[in-house]
Amino acid sequence: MKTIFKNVLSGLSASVLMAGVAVAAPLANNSDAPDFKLPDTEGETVTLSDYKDKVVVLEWVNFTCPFVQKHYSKGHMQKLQDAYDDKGVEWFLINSGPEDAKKGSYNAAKFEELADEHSVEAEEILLDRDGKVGKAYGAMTTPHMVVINKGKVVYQGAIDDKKSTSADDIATSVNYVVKALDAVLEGKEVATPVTKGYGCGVKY
Amino acid sequence: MFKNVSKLLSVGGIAAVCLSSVNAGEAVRDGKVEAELMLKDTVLKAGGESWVAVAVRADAGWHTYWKNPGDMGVSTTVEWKAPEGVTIGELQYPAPHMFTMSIVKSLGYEGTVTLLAKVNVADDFVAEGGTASISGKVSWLVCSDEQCVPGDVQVVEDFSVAAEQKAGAKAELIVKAMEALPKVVEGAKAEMTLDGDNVVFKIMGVADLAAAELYVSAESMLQTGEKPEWKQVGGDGKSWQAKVKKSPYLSALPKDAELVLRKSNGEEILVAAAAGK
Repeated sequence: MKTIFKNVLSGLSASVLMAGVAVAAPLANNSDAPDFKLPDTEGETVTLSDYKDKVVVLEWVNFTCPFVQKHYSKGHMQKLQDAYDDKGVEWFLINSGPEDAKKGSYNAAKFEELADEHSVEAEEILLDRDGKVGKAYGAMTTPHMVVINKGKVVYQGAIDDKKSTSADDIATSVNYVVKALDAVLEGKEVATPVTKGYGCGVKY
Repeated sequence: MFKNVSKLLSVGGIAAVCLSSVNAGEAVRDGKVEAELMLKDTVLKAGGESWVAVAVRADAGWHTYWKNPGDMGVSTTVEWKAPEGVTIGELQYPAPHMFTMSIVKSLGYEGTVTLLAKVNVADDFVAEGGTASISGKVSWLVCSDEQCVPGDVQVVEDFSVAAEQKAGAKAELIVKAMEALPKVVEGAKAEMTLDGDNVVFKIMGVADLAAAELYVSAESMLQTGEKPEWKQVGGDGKSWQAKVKKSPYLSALPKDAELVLRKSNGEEILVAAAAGK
């Protein structure tokens, strides 16, 4: 399905959306989350602004990336997706860049297969083929994590503080996404709203 | 729709590499990269000084990373193991090159890079049985335009100890690699200050910096790939100011950092920079 960008979307930043500029930097903390409409793997369109009253997680994904595998191979990411789903958090995976199987940017059918294989517990995998959404969010790596609270960006960056590809490091890491989600769900400020992401480069 | 899929995980992830016995002086491969440990002198003397090198050879189309990898990537590192009395200095990297993938910019080396460290032998060092060895666990992330793969190998080289130091078979390669490191210019120094969204460097004692490439060893200090704005200050031809956009992740400048400058004539310079007031 074609990605359609509409320029007026309730209460959300239209400027970034229309410009589609590469920010190569995080968005200002607490700024409006750039809205988007992206197709999922079944061809249904997901519109971010439909979730403007919710807590949303965006996770940039590429299953061929060892940093992504670190968090999926032993079920850590899936556990988080499931646990926060129970708390009403909407969790979307996004794959940015043109379709190219060699780069792990697969077609919809293959992503469905991979989601099944990995027991992904997120809502959907969204396909950002022209990369506009990834660039609007300054997503440079997989994984790259964004937490949105009622339309405002409250966390952006790394999943945790250990830049490694070993799942053994997860037990001793500080998970920034967990910290941010827990703070938001308790109505508190996110203590660390921006970190530098780590991982493989997004294949724009 | 992916929720409630309760199938067990079937993903292998990255398998641990099983090391077979490592032979001294041999290059060892893991995936797309082969690494080799080399000693400039294979006969060392008590109280002497020499160099150890690790050649990291990535297959064509693949690259490894500098000390500061930039927007993504992981620096190549070596975990040394040497007998007591043999000290290995800080790992020294050649000047990096930039890899651009759309908005993602990283710093490193295509193909082969040789990393170096100084070796110091204590005055009272004695090798039991006359020989000893230096080994290193070399760890890297190697990426192509298509994917990234982490890797590590254990490499080792033997040396003996005698009254006279003696160059080994790889000495010439190591001398070449030492010459390829960015040069430390006598008397050159730099000061850095934070000025709004920029880091301003004042560099003294280096000529011909107009349009030079500037890299800094500290991660998350500068916006990777931003060109510095150069200005000559003072009339000696060796005083410069470079204004570079800071990284969005920088909150305070580190006390010191290494500046690597590549002049437009290709010459590469290393300058120690200290934070100013």
